[in-house]
Amino acid sequence: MRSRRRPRRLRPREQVLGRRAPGRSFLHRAPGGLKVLVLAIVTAAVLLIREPMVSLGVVVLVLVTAGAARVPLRMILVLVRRLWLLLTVLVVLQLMLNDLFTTAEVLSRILACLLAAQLLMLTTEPTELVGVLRRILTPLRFLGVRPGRVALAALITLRSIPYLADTFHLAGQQARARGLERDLRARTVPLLLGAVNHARNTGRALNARGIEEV
Amino acid sequence: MSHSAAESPSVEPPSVESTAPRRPGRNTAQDIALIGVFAALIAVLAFAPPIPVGNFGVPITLQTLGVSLAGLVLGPWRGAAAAGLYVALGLLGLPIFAGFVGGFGVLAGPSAGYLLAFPLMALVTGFIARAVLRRGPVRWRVPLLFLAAIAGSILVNHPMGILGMSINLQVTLGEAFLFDVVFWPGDIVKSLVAAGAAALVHRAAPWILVRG
Repeated sequence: MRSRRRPRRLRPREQVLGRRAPGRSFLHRAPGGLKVLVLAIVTAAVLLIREPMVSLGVVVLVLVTAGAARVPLRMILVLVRRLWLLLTVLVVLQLMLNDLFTTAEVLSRILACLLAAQLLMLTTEPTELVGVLRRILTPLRFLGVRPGRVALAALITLRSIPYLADTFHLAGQQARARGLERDLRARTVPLLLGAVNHARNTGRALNARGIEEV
Repeated sequence: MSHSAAESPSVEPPSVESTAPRRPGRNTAQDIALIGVFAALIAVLAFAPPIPVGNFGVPITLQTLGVSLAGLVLGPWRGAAAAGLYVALGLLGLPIFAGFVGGFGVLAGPSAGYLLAFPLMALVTGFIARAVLRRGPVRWRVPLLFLAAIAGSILVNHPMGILGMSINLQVTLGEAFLFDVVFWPGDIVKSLVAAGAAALVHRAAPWILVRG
C-alpha cells in the first residue's frame, strides 16, 4: 500500500461580495450615490475622449486617490492579476490588427475604467449600491417601475449569490464523485433546481410576512 | 421544506404604501423572489471558471447559460427583469460580471455589447419559450426550447457583441465577427443543456409559468 499523502489544503471559499478595504477614510464615508456619479462621469469621459494620455492620467489619479484613502494598492491591482490572460490576448490581437498607438489607447482605456470601478467597489457596501439603484429608479415611477420592488429583488440577489455559489460548488463535487466532471448537465441541473427551490422558499417567506417591497 | 424560509434576506417591515390591492392570480412576492434568485444564478454561472466539457476537454464559460435559463424558465418579462437586474447591479459596481469585475468600466471592455444584450436576449428567448410551453407538443419541447435559446443567442447576443467589440477594440465588423465565431460551438452546447434543464424544471415545478 502506498504511504498516505499529506492531505491537500482546503480550497478557500470563493468570496464575492465581501472584498472590501478596511478603514473609515473620506472615500469610505462619502455617500454611495456621489461615488457612483463620479465614477460614471470619469468612465464617460474616458470612453468619449479616447486619448491614451487621458486614460493613463485617470489610472494615476485612481492610484493616488486610493493611496490618500489608505486603500491597499494590492487590493486594487489584484484585478490586473485576475485578468492578465484576457489583457494579454487583447494586446496581442491589437498588435496584430492595429498599430502601437491604438494598442496603448485600448489597453489604457480598459485599465482606467476597471481600476476606477474597483476602487468604488472596495470602499462601498453592496447594500448601499442597492440604495443607489433605488434612488436612480425613483424618477421612473410614472412608467410603472416600482423602485421598492426592484430593491427587494436586488437584496434577494445579494443574499442568493453565496447560497447558489455553494450549491454550484457542491454540484461540481458530486459530479466529480460520479466521474462526470466534464458533463455540463450534471454540473448545472442541480444548481438550477436548487435556485428554483430557493426562490420558492423565499417567495413563501415573503408572502407569509406580507412583504412586496422595501 | 420550510427550513430555509428563514434564509430570506433581512428586510425592513413593509411600508404603508405596499398595502395596494393584489391582482388576483398573480403572486407578486413569488415573482420578485424568482427574479432576484435568477439574477443571482446568472452571476454565479458568470464567475464560474471555464469548465472543460466533452472528450477533448474544451473549456467553455457559462456566462450566457444563466441568461438563457432565465428566459426559458421565467418567460419573457420576468426573464428580462432578472437579466436587467443583473446588468444594472453589475454596472453600478457589484463585482458580479465574469472575472469578478463590476462597474461602468466594463462598458470600455470587449464584452460590453454582450452584456448589454442580456435583457433583450432573455426577452426573445422567453417569448419563444412561453409559446412553446403553452401550445407546442410536449414531445417536441426540448428541441423547440433549444431553438428558443439559440435564437436569443444568434439574433440578439452575438450581433450586439460583435458591434461592441468592433467599437471598443477599434476593429472592423468582419474582424469582430471572426473573434465571435469562436464562441459558437460552446453556445450550441450551452443551449442544448439549457433546453434540457428548462424542460426538466417545467415538468418538476409547473407553478413557475402559471401566468408568466
